Parts: sequence; C-alpha cells; structure tokens
Amino acid sequence: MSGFFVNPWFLLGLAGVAIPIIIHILTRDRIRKVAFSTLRFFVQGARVTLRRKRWAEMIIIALRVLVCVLAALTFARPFLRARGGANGPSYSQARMIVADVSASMRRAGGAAALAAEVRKAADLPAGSAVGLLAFDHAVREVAPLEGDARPVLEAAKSLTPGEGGTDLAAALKQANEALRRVTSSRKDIVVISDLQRSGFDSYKGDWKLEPGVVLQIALLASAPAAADVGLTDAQVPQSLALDNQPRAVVVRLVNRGTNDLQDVPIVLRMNDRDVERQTVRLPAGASVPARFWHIFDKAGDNSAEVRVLCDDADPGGSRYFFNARVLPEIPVLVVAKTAGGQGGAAFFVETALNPGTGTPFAVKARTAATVRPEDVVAASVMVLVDVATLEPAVVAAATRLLERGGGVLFLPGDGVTSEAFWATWSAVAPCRLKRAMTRRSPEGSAEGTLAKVDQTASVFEAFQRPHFGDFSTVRFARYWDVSESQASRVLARYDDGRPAILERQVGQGLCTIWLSPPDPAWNNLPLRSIFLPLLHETVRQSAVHTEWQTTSAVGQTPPLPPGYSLKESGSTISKTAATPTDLGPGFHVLTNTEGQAICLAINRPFGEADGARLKPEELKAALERPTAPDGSGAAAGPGASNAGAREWWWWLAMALALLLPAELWLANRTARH
Amino acid sequence: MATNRHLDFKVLGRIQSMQLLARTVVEGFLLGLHRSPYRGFSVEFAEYRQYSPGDEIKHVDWNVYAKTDRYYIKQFEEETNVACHVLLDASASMGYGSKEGGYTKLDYAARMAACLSYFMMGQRDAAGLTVFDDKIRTLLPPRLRQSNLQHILTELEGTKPGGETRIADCLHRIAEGLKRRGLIVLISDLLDDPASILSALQHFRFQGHDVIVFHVMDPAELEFSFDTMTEFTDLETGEALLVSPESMKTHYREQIGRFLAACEKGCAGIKADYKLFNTGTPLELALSEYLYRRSRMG
Repeated sequence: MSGFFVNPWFLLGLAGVAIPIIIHILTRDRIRKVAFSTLRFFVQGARVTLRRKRWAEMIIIALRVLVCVLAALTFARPFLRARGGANGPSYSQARMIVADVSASMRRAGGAAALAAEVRKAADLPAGSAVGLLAFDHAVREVAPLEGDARPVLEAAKSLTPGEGGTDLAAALKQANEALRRVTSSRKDIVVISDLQRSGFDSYKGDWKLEPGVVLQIALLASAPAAADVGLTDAQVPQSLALDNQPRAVVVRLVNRGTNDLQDVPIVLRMNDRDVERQTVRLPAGASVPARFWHIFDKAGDNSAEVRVLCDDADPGGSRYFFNARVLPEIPVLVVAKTAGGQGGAAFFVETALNPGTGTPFAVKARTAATVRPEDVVAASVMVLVDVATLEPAVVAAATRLLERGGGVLFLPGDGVTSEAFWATWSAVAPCRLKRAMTRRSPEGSAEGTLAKVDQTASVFEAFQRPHFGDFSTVRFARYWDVSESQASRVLARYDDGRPAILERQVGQGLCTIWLSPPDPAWNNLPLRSIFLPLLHETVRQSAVHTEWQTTSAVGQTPPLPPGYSLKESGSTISKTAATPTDLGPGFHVLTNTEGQAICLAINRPFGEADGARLKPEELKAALERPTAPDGSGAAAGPGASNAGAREWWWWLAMALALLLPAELWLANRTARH
Repeated sequence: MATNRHLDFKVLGRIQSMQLLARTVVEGFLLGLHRSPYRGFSVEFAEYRQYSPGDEIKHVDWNVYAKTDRYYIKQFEEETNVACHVLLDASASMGYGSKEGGYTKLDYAARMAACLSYFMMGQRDAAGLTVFDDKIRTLLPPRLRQSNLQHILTELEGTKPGGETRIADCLHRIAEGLKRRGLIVLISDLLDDPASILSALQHFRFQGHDVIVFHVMDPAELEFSFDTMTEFTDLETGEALLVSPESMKTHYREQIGRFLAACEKGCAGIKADYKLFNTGTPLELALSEYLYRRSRMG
C-alpha cells in the first residue's frame, strides 16, 4: 500500500466513516406513538415532508461518509500509478542522458566533448538501463531507455551541435517521463550541456522530477576566450514601401571574451554585395549597437545580411540574415464625400498621395456614392475623407480588409456626424466622436498644437532624425473630442491633452483616425511640410501590415502565406530542409503555384549568443524532490507525489472543500424543516 | 352531589363571588343578551316569615293562621323561565388529552356542562343535556326540578368518548325535536366539516334559539408541540400516519389556524356566540372570563 500512498497511516482515518453512521443511529428520531384527535390537518403534507426528510438525511449521511473518506484519502496522498511504473521493465539502475546539441554547444567543446561525456555517462553496471535524448529547440530520442548501452554509444558518435536554440526544460521533462515508465531503485538524469540560462526560460515551475530521480550535471563550458563576438539582437525592416527613404538596420553586438576589441568591422550586405561597412569598439563583456541607414530602392525581395568580420567572431552567431521586402506601389482607395473640389480635405489627401512621379501609392479616388466593395478588396489602404456613412457591403469589405492586415484611415470633418459615424464604424473605429471643438484665442488665431507625439510609433520613425519634421508649426482651430478610446493607442495629443491621432489594431490590420482632417478650415496641417510625410507614413505603415513575415529564427515556424511551399534552400549553412521548422540559417525561397516567390530569412536564435549560465545547484533545486525516509522514493513534504498524483490530490482537496459547506447547508436546511 | 367529580365547587365558589353573578341571578347569567319574556309567569314557594306591618295582606297564609293563630307571610322566589339545552359532543376525538393523567377534552367539556347546568338550575332555569357522538346517546329534556340536575350530573359522570364525530346530523335531529325556544350551548371540538356544523347551528337560529358554541381544544392540538418522529393514530378512524413534526409543524399550524378562523367567522356569521376553550387553561378562569365578557355585552 505504501507504494500507492505517501502517508498510508492516514488511511486509518477511513474508520471515521463509522462516526456519522453511529451518530445518526444514536440520534435518529425515535418513533413515538400518539393517539391524536384527528389527522385531517396534516394528512396531505405529512407523507411528502417525511419522505423528503428521509431523503435529506440519507444524503447528509452519504455526504458525511464521503467527507470522512475524502479527508482520509487526501491526507494519505494517493499515487494513482505505482512508483517506477508497475508494468514497466525493472532495472537495478535507470539513467537518461540528455545531450545539448544547440548552437551554443559549438563553443563548449563541440561534438567531441559531447561524445566523450555521453560515453562516460553510459558506463553503467550490468542490469542497468540507459537512454539518450538530444535537444536543441526540439527534443529527439536518439536511443531509447533500455538495458543495452550500445545504441547510446553508437548514437553518441553522431551528436553534433546544430544551429537551433535551447529548450532544456522540455528535454528534462521528456527524460523524466521515460524514467517513469521503468521500475528501478535508482533513477537519474545526466544533463550534458553548457546550461545556458535562456534555455531554461520555458520552465514555469509547474512540474518537478519524479520523487527519487537524481539530476546529475555534466557541465560543458569552455574557458572564456580572449575575444568572442556575437550578435544578440537585430531590428531590421521586413516590409516597406518603395519610397527612397533611408531605413535603419540595427544590430547589437556582444563581446563575451576577456579582451577589449577595437575597430570590429561590421558589414551590411545586400543582394550578395557589401553596401555599407563600419567599425565599432567592443569592450570585454560589453554589448553595443550598430546602426546602418540604407535606402531600399529595389522593389521586391532584398536578401540582406549583417556580418561581423572578425576572426574572433563565432561563425554562426555573427551573421544575421533578413529580407527587406519592398513593395513597388501601395494601392490606396480614397473615398470622399463628394468629388474632390479644390481646397477641401479630399483634395489635399489625393494630391499628397499622388503628387507626381515616383510616388509609391496607386491612388484610386471614389465618392461615398460610387465606391464598391471590389474597390476595397483591391486596396491595401482605405482613406475615408469626411465620410461616415457607406453601403453596408462596403463597410463589410473594409472590415475584411482590416482583418487581413490592411489599413483604414479616418479623416472626419464637417460632413461627419458623431451618431452616423458610430452607427457605421463602431466595430472597428478607434474611438467614438463626441463633438467638434473650436479652439480659438481671443485674437482669433488658431492656437491648438500637437503637444505630445509617441516617438516609439513606427509612423513617426521617419521624423526622429534631425530636421525631419517639426510638428510645432501645425495649428489646430478645430478638432473632434472623443470617447470610448480605451482600446486604441494614442499616437499624438493636442496641447489640452485630448487625443489627436488614434490607432487601433483590428484583426491583422491597423485602423487610424486623425481627429482634425487636413482641411484649412480645421487646421493648417495641409499647408505645412510635415503633412505629406506624415500622411505617407501613416498609409505606408498601414499597408505593410498586409505583408508576411520574411525573417525568422531556427525552430520557429514562420507563418507561411497560403499556397506557398518551400522550393529550395539557398542557405550557405543549411542546404536542405523538409519542413519550415527544420530550416537552418540562411535564405529560403517559398513559391506558390503561380510562380511567385518569397524569400524567407532564417537566423540562429539570439538566445544562443547569451553568455549567462545556470548554476547546477539552481537546476537541481528547481527540479529535484527529496526522497522519503523509508526509501520508498516518495517525498515527505507537500507536493511530493508525481504530477498526476498531485493533480489528484488537488481534486480530492477541492472536493472536500466543496462537500463541507454542502453538508453544512443541507444539514442546516433539514434541521430547520 | 358534592361527590360528583364533574362539579368543581372551587370553580362555583369563585364564580359566585364575582360581582357579575348578582346580575345573572336576577336575569339568568346566560341571558345577558336578552331578557326572558316569561318573567313572573310562575312562582315557587320559598319560605314563611312572620307578618310585619307594611306587608301586603294578600300574602298572608290564612290556612296557617287558622292552625297556629299567627300571621305568616308566604314568600316566593322569582324565576326566569329559559330552557337551556347543553349539547355535549362525546365523540372519540373528544377523548384526546395531551397530558398523561390530565383532562381529556371530554373531561373538560363535561365539567363545563355540569357547571352550566348547576348555574341554570340555581337561577331557576330549566337545564337539559344531550350527549352525542355519531348519534344521540342521551337526551335529558330541560326540567326545572332539582332532581333533573342530579340526572344530568349522573349522566355526565358516566359519559365515555366513542364513535365518530357527526355533529351536523345530530344537531339537525335535536333541532327538529325542540318545540320551545331557548338557549343552545354546544360543547364540542368541532372536528367535523365546519360548513355542515354551521348549517346545523343555523337551524337552531332559525328556530329562534340563542346559540353559544364552546369550542374545546387541547393545547397540543393548538400548538402541535411534538418534536420527535411520531406515529399519529386517529382516535376516530384508527388510521395511523408517521409524521416528522419538525417538518410538519408549520403546515399544521397554518391548517389549524385556518380551521379555527373558519369556525369563529362562521359563528359570527350566524350570530352565534363562539368561545374557544384551551383545556390547558383552568376551567374556572376560562368560564368566568367568558361570563364576565358576556355580562358586559348585556
């Protein structure tokens, strides 16, 4: 029995089920016989109430018995499975070897060190069982847990660190499951790893090793080199419009070595040629950013790479691949209340989006009366200038546009009423319009200004550079006061604190509203130089959301567009891949049946460049359980049973906690009637 | 008579000591609402006393004067001439008493009947007794003679509970036999259909009788003060029923309250005087309280 209960002595408490029965027998109603004058006053209700009372009493007794049983079982803490697996094979010792083959292990001795450690760990006396798991971002059973060590030794020869990330927690969990299926008095897990701290991030503390399973750590960590450079982060454009504007490509470098490095060369390669080069200073242990400004002037895919040209750099960890997908033109649908006349908001918007040659926008202008759902489907961005009410089919098409990643820009003016706007667009609008406010000074000049701009918003990215836009010159005479904007992000505010530009994520797309339209009757924005780039950036940012992710990491499944499949692997590191999750670092081409292609860039996970390490004691303290004094392997303290049993323990405790008030309520109710 | 178990002289004494008794002696204590139309119709000899100046000559008994050569005045006692019918329910349900060794409802009712008869006789009213259950067991017509009281008390002495309650049938039969209007005093637990009882009482009212209903109930019947599982047996039908009093109490009290209200309201509707007697209340207190209230009404 001790194999099934942590505290079997508490099962004596089962005798307590007799207590409620005895109490019931002792205190049950003695039937007294009384000759009464008449039964006419209770002959109808008596039978019903008596039957109800007897049922209630039986239920109460059952509840009390159940409470006693549950209390005894809860304190006894049952195992639902016999420890060590009652039906599994039995060995004198069982050991699972967990070998780390993530990219970071390249710096920790590589394949030779791994094989040596595996051979060492697999050396067990006869009658023992040993198995081998290899893990990076995924866990693979290389050799099953069995009495023959030869498969393990054979597999050890082929263990080679790859380019994947690290998921130590998943590997240990799988090893623990394998050990649970066998019976043994000694169970242990040997971890051969560099114990990269980021590899244990997936552990949430929701499970522990089987009681009695011992964790042994074979730490493979090379001594710090004099210089060791790698990339730890990157921010690169993935989808952008063809606008001949410089874009930032930012990477972060780290020097894990002991020596300071001067003039570390970094190069930005674009379409297989170096386009920009710079050097950075890297003190020992420091992490510094490097930024390139590049104009992506070639429409379509641009295979790009940032590479650290340094002899001390980790070959795999010093390159970052990305694909800047430049859209040749963005289809924009401008819907105005009436055909654009001179001087109105629609005029300024259409003119700004299509000022002449070289514009990235393909503008199609429609009025509220003439716009059709097909126009919306064909567009990436829809701009509603002073329009509130549209045909329901058009509104539905706009909603679908947002859900698939497009953009809608509202520019409400005098032609919009708050009621009509909310009635039509409440499902997607960033806010509700309350009233149009007028801001005028006593002298009659417009005095509202933009007081706060969220510089972290990608819309304002182009304005972060010096002399690239001055919002303070814009004066707002009128603007909308709004409500119900909690779900939206405020990109800019007026000087009185009211929102000026709101953005709301709807599905995959962005819905933006300017609360003062570009109309000279409302503001002087269309007459300021900031207007055109602000409108272009707003439309552009809304449009690029429709594009697919073009850069990912090893082991992370990139969201492939529908209809596309992997055509070839053009990487210089990984030549073949069966599924997107197996893709190695480099560029991979996805094609669809129509011959269209997308280039997908895959990189080594940045976590592999992380130099932080777990201490073996930390890992053991997090996962191991103490062994019970009787040697049964069961733990003595709370949470001592395995995960399944612990769940059962919680269920028992919860049932007990529910039954007690139920019994109290029923007993009280029965006594009162 | 002093040994009769139904005559409680303590009760009588307490009632006699009350002020209201003086009034009832003259007019009949049960006649508080109306006076007898036959007052002075007959007189009964009481005693002789010597003549004194001022006495009327016509009251001198000349026969005595002839024998004794002295003047004696013949004195008479006035009497009211109301025939009082005491109707006693002696059904099996009246045999219920919640206190062991204590009064049953029939004991209580019989003592009440004895007291009433005694007073009626004492004030020169004719008292009669009818004992019934599902049929009329005994019928003693109202008589003015003292011997009638003895008969009544003897009958009460031997009355035992039995038989089912069929008040309405019996009352109708009694009503049909009454030729002269008088006072009807019904002493019962009324455990029958209230509508039929009221119909029978209406029969009496129709004949010009004055009707008083003394409703006798045991405290246990009113309060239902049982607390353990009990098997109740109907005294009249013998039917047994297992009841959980805890769960039944509320329902029972609602039912009995409704029954009592129906009786009282029904009696008021036919202008019959209704009084509920709880056998837990001492008879003298309950009776004197009622008489006092009735005298004030007169």
